[in-house]
Amino acid sequence: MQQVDIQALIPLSPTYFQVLLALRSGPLHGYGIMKAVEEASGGSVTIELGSLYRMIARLLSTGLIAQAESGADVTHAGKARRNYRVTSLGLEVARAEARRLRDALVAAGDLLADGEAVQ
Amino acid sequence: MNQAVGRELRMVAAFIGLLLLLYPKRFRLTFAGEMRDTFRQQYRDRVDKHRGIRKLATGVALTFKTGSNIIGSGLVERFRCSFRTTRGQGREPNRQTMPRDNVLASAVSDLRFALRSLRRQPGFAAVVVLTLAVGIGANTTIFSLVNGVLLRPMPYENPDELVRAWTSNITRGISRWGVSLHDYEDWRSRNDVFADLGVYNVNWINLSGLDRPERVTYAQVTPSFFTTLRTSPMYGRTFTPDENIPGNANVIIASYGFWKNSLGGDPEAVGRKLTIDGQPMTLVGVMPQGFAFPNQEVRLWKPFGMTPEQEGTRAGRWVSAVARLKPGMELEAARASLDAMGRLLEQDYPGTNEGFGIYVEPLKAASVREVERTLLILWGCATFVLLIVCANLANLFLARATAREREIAMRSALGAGKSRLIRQLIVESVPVALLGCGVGLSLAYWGLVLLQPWAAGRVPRLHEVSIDVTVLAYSLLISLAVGVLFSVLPAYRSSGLNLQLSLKEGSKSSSGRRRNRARGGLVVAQIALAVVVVTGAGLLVRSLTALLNTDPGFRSEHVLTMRLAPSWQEIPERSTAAQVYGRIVTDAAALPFVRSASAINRLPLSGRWWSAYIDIEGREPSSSGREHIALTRVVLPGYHETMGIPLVWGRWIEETDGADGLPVTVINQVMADTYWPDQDPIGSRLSFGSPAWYTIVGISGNEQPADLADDPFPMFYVPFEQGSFGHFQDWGMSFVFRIEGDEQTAVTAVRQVVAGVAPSIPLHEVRTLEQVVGNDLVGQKFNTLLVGAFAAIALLLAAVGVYSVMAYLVTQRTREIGIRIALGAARSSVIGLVIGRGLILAGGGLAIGLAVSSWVGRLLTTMLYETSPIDPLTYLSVCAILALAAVTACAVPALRATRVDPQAALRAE
Repeated sequence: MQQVDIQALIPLSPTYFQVLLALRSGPLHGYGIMKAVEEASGGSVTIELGSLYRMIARLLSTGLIAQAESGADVTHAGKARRNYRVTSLGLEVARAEARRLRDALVAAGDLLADGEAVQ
Repeated sequence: MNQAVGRELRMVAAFIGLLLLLYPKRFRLTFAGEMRDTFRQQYRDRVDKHRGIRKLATGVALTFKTGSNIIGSGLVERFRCSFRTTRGQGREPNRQTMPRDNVLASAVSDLRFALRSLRRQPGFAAVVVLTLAVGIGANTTIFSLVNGVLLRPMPYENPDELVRAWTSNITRGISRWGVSLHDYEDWRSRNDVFADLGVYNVNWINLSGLDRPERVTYAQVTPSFFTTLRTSPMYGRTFTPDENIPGNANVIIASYGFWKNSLGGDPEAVGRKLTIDGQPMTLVGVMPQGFAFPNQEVRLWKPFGMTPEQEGTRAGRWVSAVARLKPGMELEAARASLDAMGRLLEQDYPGTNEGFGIYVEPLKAASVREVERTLLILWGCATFVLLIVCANLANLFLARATAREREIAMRSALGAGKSRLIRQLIVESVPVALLGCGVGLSLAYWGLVLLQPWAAGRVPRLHEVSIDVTVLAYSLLISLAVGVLFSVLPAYRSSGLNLQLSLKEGSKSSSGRRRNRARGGLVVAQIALAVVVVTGAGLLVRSLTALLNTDPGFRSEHVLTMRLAPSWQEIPERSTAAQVYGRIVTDAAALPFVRSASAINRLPLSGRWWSAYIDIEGREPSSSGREHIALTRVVLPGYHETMGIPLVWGRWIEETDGADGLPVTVINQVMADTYWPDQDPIGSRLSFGSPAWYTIVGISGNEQPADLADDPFPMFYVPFEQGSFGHFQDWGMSFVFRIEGDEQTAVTAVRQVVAGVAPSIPLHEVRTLEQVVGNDLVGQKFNTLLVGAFAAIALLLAAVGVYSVMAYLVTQRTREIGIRIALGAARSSVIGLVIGRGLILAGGGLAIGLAVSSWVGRLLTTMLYETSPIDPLTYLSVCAILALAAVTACAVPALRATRVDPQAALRAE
């Protein structure tokens, strides 16, 4: 497998970051990702159907996520519902992005008031 | 799950599923099912928990949001086509496969930016919108005609089954001849291919019993006419078979227009009585709006109801036929079967049917045959204009792309991928394209309104022409295609440039030079297209001039015409009619401003009416392959003198040539040359149909029976009291009065004379002879005018194109020009530089355009009269016009070039 240059993918778009975060707790299907991202961001980040699947396609093609084993879930048409899981590469990328964000926050220093800063 | 929700969800899910088609195939195959499923989950989750209005609102909002998101991302995904499932293959992703933003959000921001920048440059936007509107407007107008007349199916049940049927005679080269009523009976009973067959004939009648007597176009029909077309009447019924029997035929059916206008739209109109040609008739039905067979002028239908004498012999082929093929019957099979039937009829009736067969043609093809070519040529011209518009737009946007080079370069440096840039350009051009479409549509609407007077009577199915959904879709499509394509392409090509180079000031990058060549090429193309349209217009002008200069064979100035047509019921005896007409002529001639008066049964330029087979005494009688055909005309004495037709030899018809006198006739020059090439025809005798032999007493000049463009035809004149009056069942004559002085007073005075002699007979078709001649030319005049308008627009657009390129050139080469002036170049040489460049472009376009014209000109041959498609005078004029236009377009930039301040030019950049 060719080495993917993680640094080339940074900075990561916020929505992609949220998706990777949502998947770190376990595999999810499409709608599950939508809901998880919306909840985690407190409603401020919503992904619409079309955009979601384009993102899934991108993430699949760059190897940041992969198809997981199907669960017991069944679709309206009776087929097994597809789940996605984050790959180790994906976790690496998410970690790199988290580091970048942390560094950015540190650089911001006293911009944030005491109560706002990250503990 | 609730039934209603289930249904609603299924509908919405189907709609979303449809939108998924926007995605590229591979994407769809992988994700479409899953996306549908996810949507269902989302819908159930979000919408089901509400009730009533809240539920409806939430459902609609979700569908709308999801729908627009799918449209946006689907289009972009399709455009990029870079999706690949690289399962496990980590291809190094570059920035472009990881877009950082939501597609829809960026599209919206692009749109806002686009509208802002257009508002900042209203001039540019206005030029683009107007240019596009002109192209779209012209094209949509003509397309509305093409759609309504040529493309839309005819408004009858199963219209593909309907055909027109004619008598044909291959040996005589006739494919569409009238049908005889006797043949109709046989066709009806002996055919294997028709579900039904009906015949009809168009005629005119005098109608009274309304506010005032009217002359009305009507059609005599068989009851099977309506059963063939299968259109149900709006009120009442159609004719029953026994209403075709003489004596029972006092029934009529009205058209929608007649019912609306003359019967006041009375819903109880069925059963009313009207007087037609002095006979009472009962209205039994009203046809719905839009039913206009055989043409739009027909306002009433009446059964033939004729006695055998009135019907004529089997050889009297004077009606038209329409038929419905059996379901599933192929045209070729039908034709083969009818050929066989024709041969059987030939055997049964050798005297009348030898050599005759039956020809059928689909109804639509038959109806539009005459205008099809003209409409398609007009559409071609409109398309050429649109292509020139495209070139203009490309040029405009190319110039704009150059100006925005730096902006584009910066965006690219900041990380905008190629697709992002293109998306931005598309979004920018869509509002302009839509505006152009809107303005173009209103132009098209007015275009159709203006075309109405010309088209009425000349274009079949005109009442079906409108700006309908098809036309709207067509104009929207070409607006978007042209607007988007020609704004994106130039910029797209330039987005492949070296960023660093273009960010440097004053650089002339290689792509700049490429762009210059592209612009030059575009202008040459524009000029070539304009040349073709202008040449077409020029040829039509030549043709029209030739027509105007054609001698119609008579002197048309100061001649008044009007028609009287009392039916055989109103005046049963020919002698009575002769007396009435004689009195009209005498009383009118007595008026001070009437120099002479007379009458003829058919005016010139009205058509090849009354053609007859003539037998010449002492020669073999007319037979198949050796027939003598000529047109009959019935005249009152003094006709030729009133019309100014010269007498070549012999004498005119006189008062003394009455009912008891020797039957005489005057023939025209063409007839004399055709049938008596080496002898003097005076004294010879001929007959036509009736047993009498007519002695030729004079030879007259030729008058044009049909269009001016036609060749003169053999014609002979017989006196009113000696002529026969065929199937029209009236003594219809067109009176001619040569007047001097004021036309209006003459008209009133003559009307009074006629009213004094024959008060109950309506007078109609009151026109001057000049109007008659002019009417014949209207079609040609209109074609010339329309193509001329296209040519003027094309020329203007091309000139604008030349101007913009030259202006740009001057701006680009300001430095060079400044140097030249500083080094002592004269003003004239600078002007010469610019104009020279312009003429080179024009010359290139001209050469290509003329070459294309000579090839395309062949298509115009049917519209040209005595003009060759490669007429040298026209071609030379086109060259001159183009050269003049090019020089004019270059004038302003050239003058601006001379005013370049050399110091300023050298300092700048």
